[in-house]
Amino acid sequence: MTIRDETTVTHASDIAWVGSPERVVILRLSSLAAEPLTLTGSAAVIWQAVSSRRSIRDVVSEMGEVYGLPDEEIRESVVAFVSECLAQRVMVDVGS
Amino acid sequence: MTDALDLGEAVELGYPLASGVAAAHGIRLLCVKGPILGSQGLRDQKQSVDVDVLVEPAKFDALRAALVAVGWHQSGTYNTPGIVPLHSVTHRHPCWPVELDVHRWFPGFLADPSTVFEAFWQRRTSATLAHAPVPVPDHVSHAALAALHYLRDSATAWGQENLSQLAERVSRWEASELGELSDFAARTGAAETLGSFLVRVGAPDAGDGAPLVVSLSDWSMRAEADTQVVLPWLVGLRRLPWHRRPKYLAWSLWLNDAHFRAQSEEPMTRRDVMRARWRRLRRGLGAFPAARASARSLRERRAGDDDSR
Repeated sequence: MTIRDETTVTHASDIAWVGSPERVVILRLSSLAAEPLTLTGSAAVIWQAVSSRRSIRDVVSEMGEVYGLPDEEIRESVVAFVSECLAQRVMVDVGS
Repeated sequence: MTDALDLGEAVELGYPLASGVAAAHGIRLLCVKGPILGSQGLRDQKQSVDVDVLVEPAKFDALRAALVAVGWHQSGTYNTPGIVPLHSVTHRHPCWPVELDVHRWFPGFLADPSTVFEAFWQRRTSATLAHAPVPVPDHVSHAALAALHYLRDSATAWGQENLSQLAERVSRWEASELGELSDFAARTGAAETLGSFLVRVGAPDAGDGAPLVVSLSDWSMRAEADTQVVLPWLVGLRRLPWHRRPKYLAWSLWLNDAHFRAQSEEPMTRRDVMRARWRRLRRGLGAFPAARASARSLRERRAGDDDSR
């Protein structure tokens, strides 16, 4: 799927997760035989930024402030991470 | 994206996991103890070391099978005696640094386990653990469970200290909540086992309630025993008719190889099993005098109680 700036995402409803600023562990409640997913570094920060519905534009902007980098440099990483989370079904696209 | 879990993560995620397994099979389950007691103000928040769940007794085996199907294997063998009947089994997963204890009842609730579960289920509420909702007992029924958990080990400093802290918190409740606590005790066959706690917190007398199906004297013996090493074996021996005692004695001394293998994290050779067997026998011999003294003291106390009735 194509992820645009206005694409809005949040966590899937059938997960449990625990997190600190540096690390997040996600359990897929619909796939309990699977091992939990562990996110560290910027992935953990992005994950926690989408606890409530957020557009890619907002996430990129927030990450830019956190890491002191221009949005263009951040956007590619955010989109790649969100794509992976959508593929793993731990995030959902809730529209624009 | 996978990395080893730490204990705190495993405990918090373990509750939604157990709840999710149960829900997927239409099994009613309540998440108990651990961080839920802290969130309900029944103890300080502290790191728990395991995950405890109470399952509807009729689905006990079904839940265990469902846990095995997602990689949570039964840990240990359950053919050794206890002073009170078997009430829980432990499951473990090779990737999770935590044990999952599945309870079909809790010692001290002496009514039929199904009656006890229904009483808990009627008072259930929801808590959020690891950002997921899980079914839990309400604070009243959970206080009763916690009190019995501590009373069961009331001969230990651990039991006494935790019971005091819980009593101090519960004694601040409104009169209506204390009344609900007494009602719950009566409905679950815990009027007598919780009696001293109810008096201590200022709750009304629970009165008679559900018929008891578990022996009160077994509970009292468990709660008053100051050692759990060897003692259950002695109690088990005394409960048997004479003709069955020699076989029991041989089994209690030797056990089968599967028992030792189930206790070990690593695969065991026959030689390892023999070593473990001798270590156990040495420990048992060392603990025997204290266990025998404890058994005698408990018998005498029981006889004294019977005489005074």
